[in-house]
Amino acid sequence: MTRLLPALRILAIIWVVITVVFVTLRLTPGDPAELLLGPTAGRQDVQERLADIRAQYGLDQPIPVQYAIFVGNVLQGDLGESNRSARPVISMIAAAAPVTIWLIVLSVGTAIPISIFLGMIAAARRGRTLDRGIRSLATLCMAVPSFWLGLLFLQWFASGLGWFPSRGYVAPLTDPGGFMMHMALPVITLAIFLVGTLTRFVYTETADTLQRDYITVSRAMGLASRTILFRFAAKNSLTPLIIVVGVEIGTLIGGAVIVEEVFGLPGLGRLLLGAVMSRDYPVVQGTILVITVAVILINIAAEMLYRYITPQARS
Amino acid sequence: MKPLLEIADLGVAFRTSSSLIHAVVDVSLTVSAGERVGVIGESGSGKSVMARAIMRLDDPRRTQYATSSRITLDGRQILALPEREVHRLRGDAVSMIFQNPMHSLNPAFTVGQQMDAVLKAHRKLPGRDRRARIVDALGAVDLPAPGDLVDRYPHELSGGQRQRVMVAQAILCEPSLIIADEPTSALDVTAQDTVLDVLERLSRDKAIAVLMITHDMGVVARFCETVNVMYGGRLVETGPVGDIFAAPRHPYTAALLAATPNPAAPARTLHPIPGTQTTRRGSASTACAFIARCPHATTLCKQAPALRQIRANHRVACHYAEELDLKAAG
Ligand SMILES: Nc1ncnc2c1ncn2[C@@H]1O[C@H](COP(=O)(O)OP(=O)(O)O)[C@@H](O)[C@H]1O
Ligand SMILES: [Mg+2]
Repeated sequence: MTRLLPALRILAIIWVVITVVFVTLRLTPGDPAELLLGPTAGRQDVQERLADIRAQYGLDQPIPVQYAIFVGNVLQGDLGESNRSARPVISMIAAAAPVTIWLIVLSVGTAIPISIFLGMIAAARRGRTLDRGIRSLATLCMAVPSFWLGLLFLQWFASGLGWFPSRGYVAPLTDPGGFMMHMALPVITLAIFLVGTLTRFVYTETADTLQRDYITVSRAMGLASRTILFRFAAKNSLTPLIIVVGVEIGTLIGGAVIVEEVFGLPGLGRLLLGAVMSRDYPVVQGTILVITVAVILINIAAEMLYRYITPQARS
Repeated sequence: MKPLLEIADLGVAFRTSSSLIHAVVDVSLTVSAGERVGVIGESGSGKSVMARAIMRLDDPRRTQYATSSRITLDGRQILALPEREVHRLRGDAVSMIFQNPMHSLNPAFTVGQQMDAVLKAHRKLPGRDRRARIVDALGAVDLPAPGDLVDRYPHELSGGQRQRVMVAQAILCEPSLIIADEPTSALDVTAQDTVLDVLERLSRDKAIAVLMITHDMGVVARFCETVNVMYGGRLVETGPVGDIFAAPRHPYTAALLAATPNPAAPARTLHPIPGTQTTRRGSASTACAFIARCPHATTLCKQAPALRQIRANHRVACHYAEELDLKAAG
């Protein structure tokens, strides 16, 4: 029973999220059928064609019935088809997900070592110029809006200097070099935001750890400052980073939506944004469902990893 | 014979944004090789600051040592050494044990990993020999199954066991001096006994000198040969434990003893006399540190009394040391 509770809680979260998305979509102005039909000026059979479209996608049903059908399909693992392209939502997501996963993995992979280095150095030099410099830099990284930074990078390094292609994506298996070139600017843009958040976290944790009695003991027993900082303080102050990265995944997906749009990457963020614009209900609902499940799984994995690494939590 | 540790006219002050805090003023004491020396005084009397000064553990940017201060350890001038060389002594020639064993061990590493780092910092030994030496040290402090203990995490041990691990870590490099800053204050009575027994035996067997800092006359009575009484950052009385317990010559020492009716039963707190001790800010005071709380104070006490020898090895900082009729136990 107690083992079942977490699973029930996760299902409840997923249900709440998809229900909220379902309801919000239907409360938002904009008729999917009209948007699909396009400009209607001069057409005679508008009402008829709208009715056809609504019937085709089940939009003519009362909303509670639409909801029941939607939930029933989800329970069977069916996310439906796009209102626009008639492609199965699941295959659209499968095509877009790798782009977003790469973007996030590369950004996190870039940001973590930089943040650890900056945060720990600042904490070790607490109150000195280097510390103040690093912390101002971190605040700046957090404060700069990603879309603005992205546009700036495009302007400078893509259009201006021509170092990087300006928009688009190539799969890593097709053309690894091209993949790197296309990903560089988006990854840097997203990583800069993350470096801001994570550096501040590492700084706070490390500064706190360095105040602990066991660090004084290590100093009094003659351990080198290097060993104390990078081995003995690091393990205590860096393991919570696992949890924080898990929590930040949500924010990061939000950031990915913006970055994908700016750099024209065909990822989940862009898919979602496009679907919202055209009121493609099944795509919006499906994408958000998949993202929610992914975020929950990542957080569970982070928690498990943290427990595994922390001896007090393990037993 | 030259003493192992000689502290002469030690003054330690901390710079804060608003003032200078004189935590230790003009303290002199000596510890001979293998000797067990006590430092007693109520909370805030400067005991820990004095202890940390021996290993120069306080942040050099905030800490000011009086220019006449000298700390001589085995012929080395600690206050004049470059930081690198002081650091080499820490944990090797001089080890420290701290008050709270629950916080003294790093929760994320096993006992063995932490002790190994200490050994590695000071000795070039192959891994297998280091482990053997760690197991030996854990056995020497009477911890059961030392071979298993190396791989345990601190949270798996009790407070008393952890403090014995700290003792084992302290003796790893065979120091000539252990500074123990209230090592038993956070322990229950049984664990206190064990830790003191272990320390005393190690001190005798390996001729390790121990500077025992405490606020408990009971600890001084059973553990120390000599005792130094501190008040308000100053030394007020110093001498052999037997002499001082039999005939204290400073009113503060007498009050401490009176508050500990049976030195065998350790006191929890030490606050024998009404009033509170004050740490000097700004310039060092010229009056006797104890003047505000002394029942015998006169106008003469506005002149700080110097530490005077009144008998062999027995020195007191009180103008009336010879005249006052002080009782040790009420
Ligand atoms: N790092 C520091 N900065 C400023 N004041 C300090 C510092 N360490 C100790 N003090 C002050 O010095 C005095 C003596 O402290 P301490 O040596 O810790 O007393 P105790 O005898 O209880 O060990 C206290 O008034 C304390 O507030
Ligand atoms: Mg203290």
